[in-house]
Amino acid sequence: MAGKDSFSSRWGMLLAVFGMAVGTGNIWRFPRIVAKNGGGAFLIPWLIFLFLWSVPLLITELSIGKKTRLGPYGSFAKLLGPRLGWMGGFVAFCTLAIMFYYAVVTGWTYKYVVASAVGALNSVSASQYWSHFSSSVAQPILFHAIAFLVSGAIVYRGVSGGIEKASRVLMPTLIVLLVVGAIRAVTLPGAVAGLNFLFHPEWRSLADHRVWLEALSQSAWSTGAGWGLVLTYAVYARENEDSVLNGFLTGFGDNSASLLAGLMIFPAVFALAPGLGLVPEKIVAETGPANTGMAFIWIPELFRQIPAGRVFLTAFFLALAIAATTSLMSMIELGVRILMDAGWVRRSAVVTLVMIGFLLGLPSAVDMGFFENQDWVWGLGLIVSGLFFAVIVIRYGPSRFRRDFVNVAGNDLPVGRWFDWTMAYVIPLLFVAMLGWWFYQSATSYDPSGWWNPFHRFSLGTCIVQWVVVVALLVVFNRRIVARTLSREEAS
Amino acid sequence: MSTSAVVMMVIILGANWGGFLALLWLALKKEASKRAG
Repeated sequence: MAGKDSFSSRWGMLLAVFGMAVGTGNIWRFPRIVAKNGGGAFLIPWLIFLFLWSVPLLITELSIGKKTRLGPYGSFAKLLGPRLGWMGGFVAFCTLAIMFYYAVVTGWTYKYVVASAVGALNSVSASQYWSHFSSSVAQPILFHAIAFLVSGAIVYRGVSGGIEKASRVLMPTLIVLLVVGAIRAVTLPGAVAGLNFLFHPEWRSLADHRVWLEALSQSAWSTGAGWGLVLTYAVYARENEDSVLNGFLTGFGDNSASLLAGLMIFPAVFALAPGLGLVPEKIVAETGPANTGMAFIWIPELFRQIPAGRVFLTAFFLALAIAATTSLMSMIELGVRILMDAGWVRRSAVVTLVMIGFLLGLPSAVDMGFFENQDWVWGLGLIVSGLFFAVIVIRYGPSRFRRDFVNVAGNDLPVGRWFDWTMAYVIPLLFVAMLGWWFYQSATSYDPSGWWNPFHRFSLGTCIVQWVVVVALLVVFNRRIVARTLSREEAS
Repeated sequence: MSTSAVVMMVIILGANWGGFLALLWLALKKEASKRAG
């Protein structure tokens, strides 16, 4: 059981859930994917998949967490039976594996907050600064450690005293920073070209299946649906907490934050890039190592040109740092919840998890190739996680699940039959399409000659091998973990 | 800005931000009635 700790109100929980969902992907991935996929037209499938993938999964996670009061491992064991508890373990492992390198990204944002605030980015080209920082060993490790210490310290203080309190300060600050950044960007001379690029619909692109699959992937990764994080926070929800309206609010809130980031990035890039003789379309779509090109190289270059650019650059990286920190907090809490379900006390669970997370994140902190491999393997793993949540609903019976878990006392909006159809048919179908497409990309585009090789960075082979190793370990230890988790749950 | 871009901007921002604010208003109302009842 969750014990006595819980969110003090709906708004406290929602701010924490928004903090989980709104991450660095909203600020630097969303604009890049929009730019690569037809601008305004891309936004249509992106909105459609909010209803077909993200919101149903968010509702499912909120309902399960509130009902079982157990983290992913215990919830899956309870609902699918002890033998299939490992599926919850896989969901949790994917998110924790992301946590290992996400702390590295969080560390980068901290470094850049400091660098932009003290003006260190003004004295050297941004690309030189990034390459000097990322090629050094000590600095990425130091900031990786600081990232874990900051988020770990918040989680250490508990849900209401740590996560909720921090979210109540950080999330409004993030929104203010994004709004101020967007207002500054759209008022720059030439900003209209950026708005035009963001919203002008290239209708032809809707006939391209890749645009739909990119939109689906963006929605799935950005909202955090199917990661087990919302389930974890729902464990601490009030008894009469709603699931449906909160699920929709989370999805719409995440989309709204992405659009706000788009309104900051596109006008700024289109207004400022021509002054440096650069092509705005290329800059927004620039990936760079681990997708760092736009945020860590081009934005600093561009912001130098505007009055008080240092202030706005610091604000930009502060927004990134806050978005990253609140997401990292939720990942740590997921691991902590699983350990607490197995009988650990919060403080030792946090300390242990932060130490393990720091150590397992070290390879990503010092080797960009390893970082990119982990991002590839566990990012795709999350698609499998989404399917696993659908498996719970299908096995329980979608209508029965809706009656027993979703449309219960305290729920504000009843959910209709569309939920049954979406969970039973649409999500499995989208899973096949999305995973099949990414694997196809690996075999035909990313690594045509070595797609089978498990030691290649973006290969299908590396995904399968790493997933199989993790599943095999989880299956071997499943009985022991489930016994510890469920016996404590039954005892309490 | 092209007309189609303006129309799309209104639709997308209206659907997302408008949808979010409408849901927030509904949640506020439901929360108030929960407290009262």
